[in-house]
Amino acid sequence: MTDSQTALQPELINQLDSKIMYLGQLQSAIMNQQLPQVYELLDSKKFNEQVRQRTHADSNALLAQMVTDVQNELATFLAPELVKYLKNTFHFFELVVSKDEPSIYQVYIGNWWNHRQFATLDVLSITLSIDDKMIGEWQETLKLPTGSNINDIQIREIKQIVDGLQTFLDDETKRNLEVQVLNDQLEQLKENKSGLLGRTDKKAREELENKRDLLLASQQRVPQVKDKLSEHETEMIQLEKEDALRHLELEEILSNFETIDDFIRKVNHCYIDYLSTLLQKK
Amino acid sequence: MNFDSYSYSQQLKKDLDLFQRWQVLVELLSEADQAEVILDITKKILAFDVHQSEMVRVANEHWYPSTHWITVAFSKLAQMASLSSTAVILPKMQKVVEIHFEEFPNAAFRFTKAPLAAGGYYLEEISQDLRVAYWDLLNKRFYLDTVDFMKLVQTEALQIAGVDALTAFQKRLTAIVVLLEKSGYAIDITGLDAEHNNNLIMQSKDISAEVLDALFVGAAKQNFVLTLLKNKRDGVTLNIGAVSLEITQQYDNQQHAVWQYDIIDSNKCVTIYTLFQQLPFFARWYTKWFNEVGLKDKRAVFVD
Repeated sequence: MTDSQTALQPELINQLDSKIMYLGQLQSAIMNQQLPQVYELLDSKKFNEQVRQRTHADSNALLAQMVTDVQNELATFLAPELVKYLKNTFHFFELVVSKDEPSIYQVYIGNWWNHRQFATLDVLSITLSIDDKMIGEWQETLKLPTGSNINDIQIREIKQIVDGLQTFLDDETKRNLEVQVLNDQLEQLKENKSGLLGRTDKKAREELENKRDLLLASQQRVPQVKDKLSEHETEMIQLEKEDALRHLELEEILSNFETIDDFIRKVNHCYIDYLSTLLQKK
Repeated sequence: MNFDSYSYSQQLKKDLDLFQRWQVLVELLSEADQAEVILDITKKILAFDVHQSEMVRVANEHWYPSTHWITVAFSKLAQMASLSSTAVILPKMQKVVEIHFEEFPNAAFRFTKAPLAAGGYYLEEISQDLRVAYWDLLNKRFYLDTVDFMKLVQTEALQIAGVDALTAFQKRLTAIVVLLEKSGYAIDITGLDAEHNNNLIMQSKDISAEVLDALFVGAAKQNFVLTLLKNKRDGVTLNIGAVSLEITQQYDNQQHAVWQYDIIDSNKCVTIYTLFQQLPFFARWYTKWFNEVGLKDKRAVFVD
């Protein structure tokens, strides 16, 4: 054994000891269902600073790296209790686990059709990454007069277009009848052709033909108009859906929290709140 | 020309025999109190050709067409099928009776001939000219016209009568169908029987999300919420008090999504038609997206 080997040996042994101790503690915490301790071992700096309120706590990131390959299993172990807590605290949350990532949950607001994803939950770090766009929309909606929605103006504009297109389509039967009448009149002119009133007939025929051509041109637009109508109706449904979703989301949040800010504060505080609750249970 | 009194009397006798047989049939129908008997006699009445009579001609004001007799027969079944009364009224100058059901005082029903090679008759509400059902005695078929019935339940006459009246009427029709079924009829009354309100299949498969978006929006405007179904079933549900309307999908062998309605009502009173009547937004949505979400029925027999 060289001198340097001899000098390094105690340090190495210490390092190995601390790793073995870390793994042993984690194993014991899991075996004894000590969830706060598991979280502490996964990120001691965050735990000590936020839960124990100790400033400048040491990080154990290097040790925690040892268990990165079992993160999925750890998440599967930790998730049920956390999900239960979140469902109790925010009963309008719907949490759906990601298909191949047990540590990631999509957090939706409400259980309604097309409910929107409000945040992503990381089970191991107990963080909820919030969709800020949604918060902005809620705040914008709350500034509007009661009963008004963000998309109101756009919907009104599209509604006008839709009504116009619908009126055009509703007139289809009328146009068909008019074409029929004009054809009859043209036929009559053809039959009455005597030669005596030739010039007047020609003028009348041209007028009738022009009218008929205009009507026929309108009729040819029907398929296009139908497509356009369906396109605008789809657009309108989407805008109305967005408004309806925001309305439902706000209704749920504000029936449980005084303000949107209170709700967001609570969401952002869930790491401390959850672990404090677990510690109190002990 | 020689006048043969004997031949004359023989022909007269034939005619009178014929009319006596006719009289017996009408009397039997008037007295019949069992569905089988009513159906059997009605079939004979419809097949009876009084015009075989050569000398005794039928006076017009006392002659009624087949639609009259089938309406009379149906009224008897309707009476047997419900505790609510059924009135049969012959309006002045008319040749076909009208049926008035106690539950719908502002509506009147009668049968008209279906313009089909197979024959059969349509039961119609007179003032709205809306069909309720198709009845084919010869081929033993009775089918509900889901399209017109949906429109009928939304008419003012039926709206005024209210939910209880509609429930009573649906129960009455369902009970008639039970009688017909016992006589070997092929039946289709999709959505009408409150006891069997599941698996009401939609016409179209693989319907787009936009269709449900539209229902969600329509419901939200009336403060109803279209929620996602739990228990891993793929679909949505609309809760209306103690009743739920579920819209779910399942995949068939060709991997196409087959959509259906299920009405969950522990009292077994509410049908999809009750919902059409009570929830205008649902009826509007159904009408708008009919080609996708309309109920499957025996459309081929309903000819305009």
